[in-house]
Amino acid sequence: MKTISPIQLAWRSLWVLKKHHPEPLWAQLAVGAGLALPIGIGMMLINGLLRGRLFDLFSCLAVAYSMLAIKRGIEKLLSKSSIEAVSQAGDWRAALIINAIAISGTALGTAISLSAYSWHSGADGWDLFLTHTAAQTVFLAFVVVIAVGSWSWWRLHVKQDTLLRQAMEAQSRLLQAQIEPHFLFNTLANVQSLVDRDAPRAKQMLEAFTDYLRASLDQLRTSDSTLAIELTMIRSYLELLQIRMEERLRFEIDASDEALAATLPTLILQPLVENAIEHGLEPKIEGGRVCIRARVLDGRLDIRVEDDGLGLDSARRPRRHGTGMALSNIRERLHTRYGPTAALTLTPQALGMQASLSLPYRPQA
Amino acid sequence: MTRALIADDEPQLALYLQEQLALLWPELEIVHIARNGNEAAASIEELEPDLAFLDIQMPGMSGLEVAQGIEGDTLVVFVTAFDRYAVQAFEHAALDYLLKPFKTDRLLRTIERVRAALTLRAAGHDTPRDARLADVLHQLTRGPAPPARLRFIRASQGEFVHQVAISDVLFFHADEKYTVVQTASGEHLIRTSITELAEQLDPEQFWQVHRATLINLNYLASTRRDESSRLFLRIKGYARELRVSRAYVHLFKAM
Repeated sequence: MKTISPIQLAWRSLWVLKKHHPEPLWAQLAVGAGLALPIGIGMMLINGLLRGRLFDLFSCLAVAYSMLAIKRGIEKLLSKSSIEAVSQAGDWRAALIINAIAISGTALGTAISLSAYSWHSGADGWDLFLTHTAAQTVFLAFVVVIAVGSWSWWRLHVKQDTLLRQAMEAQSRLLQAQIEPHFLFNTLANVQSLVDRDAPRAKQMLEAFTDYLRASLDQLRTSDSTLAIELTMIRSYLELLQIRMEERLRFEIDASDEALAATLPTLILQPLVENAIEHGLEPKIEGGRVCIRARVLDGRLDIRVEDDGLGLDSARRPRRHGTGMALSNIRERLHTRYGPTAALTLTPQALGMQASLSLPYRPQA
Repeated sequence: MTRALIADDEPQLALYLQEQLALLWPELEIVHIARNGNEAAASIEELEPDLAFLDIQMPGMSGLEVAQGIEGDTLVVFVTAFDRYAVQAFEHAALDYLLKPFKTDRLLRTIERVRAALTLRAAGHDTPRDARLADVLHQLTRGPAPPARLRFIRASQGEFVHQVAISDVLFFHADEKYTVVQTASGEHLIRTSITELAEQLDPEQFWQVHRATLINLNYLASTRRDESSRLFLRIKGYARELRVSRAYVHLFKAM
């Protein structure tokens, strides 16, 4: 994996509100100085505000560090959840806060440098500033430039973020829609074995398989689905497996009408059911049952996938591929979509495992 | 008459293999169809078939684990739907395996190979496959990266934790849940599996001789072959004999 230097980290999160910054303070200060100094030098060259040339440099640093200080102050004051709510990409409130920080930072930095000028030279810097229209104009221009700069930076950031999220979402959907070769070939082998001996059952199996394939291909093309659609696909998956596993698999799907109308990201639920089968029931000698329940409670959609399989014991068995991958994939997609308001929890039961998914209820329009 | 066992957790697939075998090899008698690894292992031990078709992914023990525990003369053909690593290993070792869904001519080829091996065996030779089976099982059951070597075993017993030096261990033997650590002075129980232990021990000093047994070569006293050519080991400081499964018998050839 590529390592990112603290400076790069600081640059990337310069205008991002976060409760905890991964980069050290010196990196933030260095990036602040790196931005302030060229501007200061530029101002020195066109001979700015307050004659004392080196002073331009000082005021630019003062402005940059005031902004950083105000930003850190806000990050410290606000709670973690409100920062997260504000910094969700595309939120205008975040842009407003960023702009407010930029402008108040400019004002504070200018005030500091004016006071410092007065203290240093004995002249009244404030008086000089207030009596010189030119100085005030330069200050106003500075504020406008900073506001426009931070606004455009914000727009760019939001755009990049959205693109990145879309790309990640598409990739993880692609991963989850992949049909596991083991499942594919075993199903085909079953059709092969039934075709002569029990043609009607072979036909039934092919039909269920076709439904399943079609549904999973459809899921690739969209990012949103309804619980009703997801459950139809899960039902054909389970019916297929039931033909294969016979009495070793029993299942139950129980969803209220209200829950069926819920919208949710595609292929969020399917991997949980596959896990229950693959890690819970398939490796268990006597098999067992998987039960999917969905309800709407207090404006939230609650889905539970329960099995009475191996549960924690399955960790002792080496399997084809890790559960960890699928679960972290689901968590990531939930987080991109719902932020902190959605959760996936796995609870080991006396017998088997319970996966529960909780997200804001958004019925289909 | 040649006797065979089929093990597959999906009944339709087992039935289909049985039908196809009946067509292509009518003299073959299917003595049992097992639906999981544990049943397969028990039936192989009890019925001693000449041949076993083992699905790799099964509930309970996997087909690989079942093969690791075979002590008698049963030849193994693995059956799998998709397992890239397994297939690579088999190709390399020229072992018999079948990919599901299989074609008739592929099954015919397997039958020819098995017949040839059985003829060799009837003439008193060991089949070249025996040695390779151990290699394949070794590759498939062990992880890729060798973790740090173990120097001590820590086994808790009530409020005590006993520390046993690896050099004092005569052998490890696993049952369903625990692994017994046998020393000259007694035994301790630990939770680590044989496979995990084998990964962390010096392969020159500790040999796996069975699905459930890992011996310290330094304490090996003698080997004994019984009338049905099964191999038994005697360990210094331990009264009973240990059994060697078929896949590992070749390890003791040169001695």
